[in-house]
Amino acid sequence: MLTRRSGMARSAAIAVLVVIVIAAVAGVVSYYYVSTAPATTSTATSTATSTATSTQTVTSTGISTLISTSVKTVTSTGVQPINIGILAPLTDVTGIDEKEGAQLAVTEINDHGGVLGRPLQIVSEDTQEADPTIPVSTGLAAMNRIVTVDHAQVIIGGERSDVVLAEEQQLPKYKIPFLDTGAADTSLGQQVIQNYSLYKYFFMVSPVNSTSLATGLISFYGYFHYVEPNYTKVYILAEDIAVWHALVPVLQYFLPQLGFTIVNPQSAGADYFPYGSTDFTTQMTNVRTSGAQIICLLAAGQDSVQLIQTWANLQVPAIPMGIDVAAESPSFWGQTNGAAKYETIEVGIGDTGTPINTIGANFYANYSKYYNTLPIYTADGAYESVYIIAHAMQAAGTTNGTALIPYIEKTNMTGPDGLIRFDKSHNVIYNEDYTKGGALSMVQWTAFNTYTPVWPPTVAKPISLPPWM
Amino acid sequence: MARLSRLLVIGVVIGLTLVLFPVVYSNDFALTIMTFANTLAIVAVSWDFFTGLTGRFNFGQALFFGVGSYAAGFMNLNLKYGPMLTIPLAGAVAIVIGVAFGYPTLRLKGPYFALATLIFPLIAGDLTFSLSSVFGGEHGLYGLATISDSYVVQYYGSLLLMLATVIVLLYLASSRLGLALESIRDDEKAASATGMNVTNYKLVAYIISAFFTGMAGAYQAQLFKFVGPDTFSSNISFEVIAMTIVGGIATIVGPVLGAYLLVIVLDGLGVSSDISVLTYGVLLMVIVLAFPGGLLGRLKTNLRGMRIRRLVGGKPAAT
Amino acid sequence: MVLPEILVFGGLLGAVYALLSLGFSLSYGVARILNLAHGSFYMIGGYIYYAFLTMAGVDSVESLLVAVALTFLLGMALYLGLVRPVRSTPVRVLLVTLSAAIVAQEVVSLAFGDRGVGAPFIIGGISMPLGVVVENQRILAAIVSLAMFLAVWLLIRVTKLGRAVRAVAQDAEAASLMGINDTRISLITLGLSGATAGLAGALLGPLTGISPDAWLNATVVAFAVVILGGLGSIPGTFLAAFLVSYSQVVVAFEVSSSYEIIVPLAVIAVAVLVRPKGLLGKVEE
Repeated sequence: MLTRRSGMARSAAIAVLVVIVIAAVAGVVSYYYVSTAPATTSTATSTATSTATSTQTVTSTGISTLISTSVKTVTSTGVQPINIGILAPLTDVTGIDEKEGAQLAVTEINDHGGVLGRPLQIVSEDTQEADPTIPVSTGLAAMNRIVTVDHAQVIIGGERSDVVLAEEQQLPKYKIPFLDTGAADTSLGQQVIQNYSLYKYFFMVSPVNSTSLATGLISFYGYFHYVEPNYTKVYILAEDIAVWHALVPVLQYFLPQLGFTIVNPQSAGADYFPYGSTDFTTQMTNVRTSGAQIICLLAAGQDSVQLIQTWANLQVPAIPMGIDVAAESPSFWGQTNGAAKYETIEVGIGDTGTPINTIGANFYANYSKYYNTLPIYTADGAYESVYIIAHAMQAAGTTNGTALIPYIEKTNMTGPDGLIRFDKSHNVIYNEDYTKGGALSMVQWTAFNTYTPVWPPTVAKPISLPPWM
Repeated sequence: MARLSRLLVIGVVIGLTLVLFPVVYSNDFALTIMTFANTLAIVAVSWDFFTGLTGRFNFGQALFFGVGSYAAGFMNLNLKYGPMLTIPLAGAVAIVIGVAFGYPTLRLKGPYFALATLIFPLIAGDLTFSLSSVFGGEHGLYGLATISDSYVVQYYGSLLLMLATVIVLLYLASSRLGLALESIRDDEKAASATGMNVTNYKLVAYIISAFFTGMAGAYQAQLFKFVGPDTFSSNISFEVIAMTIVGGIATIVGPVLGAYLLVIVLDGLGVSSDISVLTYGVLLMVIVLAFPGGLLGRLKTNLRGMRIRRLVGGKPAAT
Repeated sequence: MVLPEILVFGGLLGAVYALLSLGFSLSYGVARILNLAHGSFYMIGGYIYYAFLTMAGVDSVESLLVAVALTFLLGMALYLGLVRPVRSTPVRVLLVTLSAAIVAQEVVSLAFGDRGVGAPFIIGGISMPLGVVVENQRILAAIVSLAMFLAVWLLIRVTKLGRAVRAVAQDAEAASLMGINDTRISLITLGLSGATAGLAGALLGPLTGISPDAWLNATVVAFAVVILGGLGSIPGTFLAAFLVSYSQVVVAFEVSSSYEIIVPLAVIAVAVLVRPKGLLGKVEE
């Protein structure tokens, strides 16, 4: 017994040495001889004739300007397409709309000759991030695939803050632009300011960041107080996630100043429920017993489907007015069996159903025509992002990611959500006036597939209250 | 004896294949998949060392993975230690945590230790949220340093760590320590009747398991340059159990196979998550019903030539 | 203070928890099977009810009956196909039922999506017991659960079959020596186990929404109730069900619903450390 064991130990020790030596040698060799640069973006030479001026600066151009100055002819053979990567939860409404919005833009641009004489092409990977139990590594693996396997030259996407934050960390390695169209977390932009050379690739196109979302909501509440001064008791009900934790204190500070009272009994002054909850009896009962007249609802996931049904079933005498991503989807009425009626939510001004400019009108009409449904904010964002990239590539004369950054920064473009410009943190600039920035709106569900804008005053219809209030 | 050295030869050949893999197949995506697989393999192998040898089920291996990740992230951000230093240090921190959680619970009889392990990662995860100013809360810690941006270097790093783990644990499993642990698994009452402090031995195995898993967590922290609360996720705890069952429990090398299989099926093929988890679930079911020793169970007898089917059913151990 | 709300909601929930946990108590106490897929019956029952009601156009009461019948059969199938072959080794039972639960989750997810579904109620409208606004469906769920619990309990106590079940629970070897067919008893036990959990799912599902991963929570709750109440004790299960439901409701109302999930886990931890036998447990673990 003893000899067998010590013989084994000796063989084991030799094996250890052999393998470690080989591994160490290989490691050292690879370190010195393998290029440390990650997958570089390929720049195929275009064989098409180009009439675009290469020194065109991107001033306040509309999308139509791009189309008129782009190439007139594209040869159909031997032209390598430019890969636009869509990195999103592709089975969730946010991801689906993202891809469709991007596809619409790609089709339009290709119909007018593409960019730099090359057609655009969508490649997509599913991060599954809408599911709260999916870990961050799934999103990172998808990101890896989209760059190393699909050869995306730019990424449009993102939805969950922690996943997008992790994806942002990988940008210095991949060196391609990342246009976020789903996550609103302000830390994403702060990273750009703190470490510009590393994270300059990141841009937040939609929605406006969470601080701006709060600003919009507060402005609406101010307007609401003016039209319905008797409704002042607010109950804050939010998913227990980072973006709301950042937003709630802003509300808690400003709402009282506008004349509202926050009636939450919880010590935090707000009721946080676990993301992915399905049973809302406790919350609805708390709302009722607190005497609230308004529920300031903050939901980014699908929780509100069950929440709103419970609210309607129990006939809680408080009107939900807040941010609810699930409720932005046209199918929300069907999902809640009509309980969605009267819910009031914040959306991008491009998603109200009442477009504010020609581009928005065309986007809306074409989107409904192709996809038989109405878009939510990720669709607008993706649509605008494709055009932003197309503009930048056209102006820069290249598809190289790092070279594009200064051109993207100079974006000054009108889209369905208003005027798109970026600030120092690479967040789209918010302004109540859509001719001056990306704007927001509040809409109320009124009928099947229909919601009507109730704010800003320029487009507002009157707000209705549920019959039991 | 001949059987054992034949196994060693096979092991070295496989080791060489893994080492030369990037040279033959220099696909960036494949490299990242294998790197990730190696990291998880370390966790699975450590789990097998504890549960396979002592027979005590640990449902919370993610505790050490998360602890290692956060320790490395914390040290990197606040003490400015580089990954070469934080990886072993994170392992040490995991040992401390292992003692803290293991000491009061390993003495419990019946399934109660196993149930307790379910809760450990939840407690640790909750702490990162309560101390969110230190540990970043939901955002986690980001902007961490990395060993290298090169896919190849990361692959070799993870491979090195994984092979070292396997070899060390194989050695320990075949040593007197391993023998003692297996005697606890086979009959705890008899073992303690010989005067052995059973709880202490289990604790030693537990913290060894913690050490390597902690290092794996630290490795992932520098790989992603980011640490989040999902490092405590029960997904990880259950995945390593599944990997080990499929690969072969109490074999130490089986989990590596199980890990490669799982990662390739789940992340590498780009199939929808539902289908890949379903496939793995069915695989697990089939293994438990038909091949209780796992895929490598038939290949591997235990390291002293005894059959090790006692844990998972079948004929009793022959001496 | 929301005392009336806590009283009402805790009580109504407790009744359903009792039904859910009854099956777990039976399979653990009688057949010594730690069925990690117990919660899957809850989830599947909810989905069968939903599917038959919304897709096959069957009316709500009939959909309920279908859900119960199918989960009964499923319970038996689980035993026959997966559990019986590995029954001699508890660890393998654990693993095979865990893998069954995972497979069930993924199959349902592929068929119905992983978001979760909300089925229409059997009866609509609200009532106000003790001045608390409650959906009628919730009251119905509690009443049916109590009735079913009572029925099964009577079955065990009064009928010959029930006596056989109790005999196996006390001493399986002696029971088989007395001519009781262990397989038949185990089949019926697992069948009942599935059916009661399935009924709970079909009743509660419309109120909370059912998603493919609901099995885990349901299993944890059932486990907590049975451990707290004591193995092999049906009255213990009944009592513990209300203790767990009230603890959850109190935590949800007074602290935050974020911590709701911790309650059954904490119950398990405390019971295990302080009194493993449970409150009314007869069988020593």
